[in-house]
Amino acid sequence: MKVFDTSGQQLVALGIDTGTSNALSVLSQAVSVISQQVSVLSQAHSVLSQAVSVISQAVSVLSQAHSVLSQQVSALSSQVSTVSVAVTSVDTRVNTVSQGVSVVSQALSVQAAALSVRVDTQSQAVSVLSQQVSVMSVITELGAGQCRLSVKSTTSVTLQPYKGQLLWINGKAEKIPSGGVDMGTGGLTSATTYNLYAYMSSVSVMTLTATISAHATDTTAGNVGVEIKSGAGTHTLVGQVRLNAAVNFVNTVTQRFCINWFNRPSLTGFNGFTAARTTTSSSFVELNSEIRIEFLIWADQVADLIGNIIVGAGILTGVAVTSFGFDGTTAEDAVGLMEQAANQNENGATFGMAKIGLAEGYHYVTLLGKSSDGVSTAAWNGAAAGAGPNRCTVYLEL
Amino acid sequence: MKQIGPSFASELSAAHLIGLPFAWGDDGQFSFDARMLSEQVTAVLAVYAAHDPLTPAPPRPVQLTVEDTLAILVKKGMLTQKDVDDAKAAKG
Repeated sequence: MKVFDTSGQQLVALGIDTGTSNALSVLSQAVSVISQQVSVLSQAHSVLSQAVSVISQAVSVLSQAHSVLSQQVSALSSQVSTVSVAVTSVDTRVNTVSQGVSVVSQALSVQAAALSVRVDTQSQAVSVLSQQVSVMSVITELGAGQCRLSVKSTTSVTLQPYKGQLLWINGKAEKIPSGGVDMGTGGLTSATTYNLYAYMSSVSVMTLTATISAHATDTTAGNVGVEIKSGAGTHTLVGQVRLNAAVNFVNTVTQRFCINWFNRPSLTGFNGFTAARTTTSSSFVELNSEIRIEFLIWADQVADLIGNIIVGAGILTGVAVTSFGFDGTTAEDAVGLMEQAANQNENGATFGMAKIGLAEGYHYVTLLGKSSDGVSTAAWNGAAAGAGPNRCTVYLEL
Repeated sequence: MKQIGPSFASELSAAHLIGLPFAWGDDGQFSFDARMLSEQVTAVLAVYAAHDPLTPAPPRPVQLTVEDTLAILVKKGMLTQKDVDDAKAAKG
């Protein structure tokens, strides 16, 4: 048998039989295989060693990470503990507040219920008041009448809707027809003053009637405060008219013969002398009836007067005295005095007054004059209307 | 209707009808107060009936002061200015 080294070089040659040689050959092959396996195992060992080294490093890193995480967990645990305490505190407070809210809520609920009851009561009261105001409003707005009476022609007067069309008659707000309600002169007498009343006919048509019957304030429920024909709540007063000598309706600046109970417009009167008027009277006389202003008036009205007077050269040494007279020669407490010397020309003055307390109905106002000494002639200027301002005039306002 | 002229007042005065409670106008209208007696009214209307509206008013009396009178007397030679001055001084 020959023994070779790993490079194939024969080391020894042994005297070995064939069986043994075969066994040695097999062994040699086995050794070779084993050697290869050892080589492979050695390589595997090397790889495994490297893997172990890597794993060891990974374990080290993980260990460090574990340590850090443990610290963080510890810190978080502490914080969680703190938060837990805080949450407990908040819970306690929330409970307290919740209880408080509950109490307040109950109190509010009770008060709300009480308020609700009061609101309901107030609401009902307001509702009742509202209805009352509504009723009052209607009555007030009416003054019981949304109308105006006027002279339509010499033969008729008319009641027209004004600021509405309702007229309170016999406890109801009746509608005035849009075309108004007319009344003629039939059955009426000259120089007579009438109260005009509106009433609803048997076929519910608003109608006017003129009568000298006095009016009164109704006290009947539903018609309280309405001015009616005395003793007849079915007839509501709307105005006053007077017919002139020719049995005509008239409403001019010298004859205010149509006045309203409702919605009274301001009425003016005006008149003047058309010729000079003279007197030597020592007491007041009506200088001339041509300057009269005739008018109708309600008892609660005031008559405002202005007199513009101009006296001429008629006075020698005296004083011309002028005043107003209502329905006669009784001088009112308003006097215009003008001294007129012989060598003077004209002298003028304006005076006025407010007359209260005149009885309801027809009146006239006129200009009165006298000479202060009852000897001298006192002369008041006059001229045709429109001839200029050189004349005595009287102005009336109702 | 007859107008009434400027002489009517003096004609009433001559008839003693001044001061009565009535008035008249240039246009001939009269306004007699209810206090006038019927005969007074008749008398006034009689004066009116006789009245001529074109007759002028009688001249009005001239009123002179003492100074005016003394000046006229001096001017006429009936007094001297010295007489006037002495009189004023004496009156003080």
